[in-house]
Amino acid sequence: MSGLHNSLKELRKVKGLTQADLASAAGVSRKTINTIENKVFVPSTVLALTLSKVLDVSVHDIFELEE
Amino acid sequence: MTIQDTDISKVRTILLELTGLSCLLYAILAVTQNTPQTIWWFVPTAMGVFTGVGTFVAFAMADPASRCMATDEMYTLITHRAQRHAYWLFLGLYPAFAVIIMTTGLEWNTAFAAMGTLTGAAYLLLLKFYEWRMS
Repeated sequence: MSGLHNSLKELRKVKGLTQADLASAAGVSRKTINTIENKVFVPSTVLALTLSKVLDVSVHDIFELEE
Repeated sequence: MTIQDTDISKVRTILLELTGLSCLLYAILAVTQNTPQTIWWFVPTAMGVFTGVGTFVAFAMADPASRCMATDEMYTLITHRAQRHAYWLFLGLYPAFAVIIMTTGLEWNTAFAAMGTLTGAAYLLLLKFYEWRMS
């Protein structure tokens, strides 16, 4: 849908978190996490940085532009 | 007793959807009966008040974190999209009702009542539609 690839689902599972856990830690709804993972919704810079902080990875590890 | 963001979303979605449907139903009844004093004319108003109170209570019963989660950036995006598209639908009601009035002899006061409730219905039902499509 967008030209943005993301590895959120994989990284979340590596950390052993559910969508609800990640949503709670990031301060958004579970539906928002689900739509980001399914590439329906592109998060803001603030949320992208929050997710990277929660998962303790770089933003570039989660999101990258598709070729 | 506190409630979670998912509970707020459920309450808000159901109440707004019911209000939107009641507005749509009123507009249809008003146009088909050619009177603003339709049967159950008070339902959209009552639903609007009930929805306002119900949503307020749901938010009041939740903790601050759940309130933020229930109004996160995706919900904001959906509401803004619904507002933008409802605005154009509202503008489209003017020429549409001009044609209806000219061709069917619909009373002006009935047309304005129907247009008013259709404006609310357009926003509320679009909100529900975009929420459903994003889920």
